[in-house]
Amino acid sequence: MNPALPLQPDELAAWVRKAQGGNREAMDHLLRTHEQGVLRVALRMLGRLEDAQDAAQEVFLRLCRSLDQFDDTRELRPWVYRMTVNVCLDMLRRRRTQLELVDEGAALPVAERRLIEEERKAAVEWGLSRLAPRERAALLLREVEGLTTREVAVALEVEEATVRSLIYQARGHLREWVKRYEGRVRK
Amino acid sequence: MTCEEARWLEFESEEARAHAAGCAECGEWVADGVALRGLADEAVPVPRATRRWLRTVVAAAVAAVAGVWVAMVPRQEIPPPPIPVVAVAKPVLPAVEVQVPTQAPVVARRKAVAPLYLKIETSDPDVIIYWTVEGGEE
Repeated sequence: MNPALPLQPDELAAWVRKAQGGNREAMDHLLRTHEQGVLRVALRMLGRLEDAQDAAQEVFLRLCRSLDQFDDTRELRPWVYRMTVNVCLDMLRRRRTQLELVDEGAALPVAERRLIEEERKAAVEWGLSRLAPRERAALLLREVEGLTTREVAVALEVEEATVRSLIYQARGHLREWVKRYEGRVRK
Repeated sequence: MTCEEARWLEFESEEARAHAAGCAECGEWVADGVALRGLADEAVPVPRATRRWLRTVVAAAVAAVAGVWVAMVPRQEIPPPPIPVVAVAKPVLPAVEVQVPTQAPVVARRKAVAPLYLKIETSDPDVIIYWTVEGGEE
């Protein structure tokens, strides 16, 4: 089975039950299914690939340790992302500083990309790194990972209304950062 | 519909999309959203070390689950090891035919025998000899 293919909730629940029963293949499958999503969120949250990989390892370790306590009637995906966001927030707190801001010199080469979409993508990526961690997490889960508002609420342990508010604010802040990025590039 | 309303709806309704089509600033919001979703297409490299590590984690986790399972299964009482039997060669004895009595042996009771007294009169009338004779073996 190709782990890259999205799994139906029933299929995923079956894999979870197998993994809870100690099936090594099932555990491996669950990790691979979530590997890219966890790494993507961790990378955007932390800004460095090495940190993202450390975070992903921590997430999978926690997943393995606590999978037997997981209620298989619930959805695994928001639960995994909740762990991911929590691990990243912990790492950011430990770091005690905000993300290492990418200096303008590092951002400019991306501006040489001629395709407007690529430039927009680079601007959005840069803008994401400037957002407050919780706003960033909400936006990543909702827009990049495609979680529903309810799933994001589960992942962030907040109400759905709070998620909508977080995303609205995050989109506004992101727009400001993207404008600033574009302003720098055009100078 | 105002910009704020369309943004709250995340441009998911027809009306909101129609608004974005005619509003430059909201059009930028929509373009940001498209770019954000495009980030999902990027594969983050997973170094080999991480994959090896993952396999180790999986193996450890499976072992832990198996350990819990073993701990939860009720254990059978293990009987103590049997006491080793040391073979002792018995001396070979000639077969002896033993007759088992079917009846309890009858023991003849000895009859109570009264002592025998002998009175012997002598020529002297004042002298009389008495002999006591004890009962002997039958």
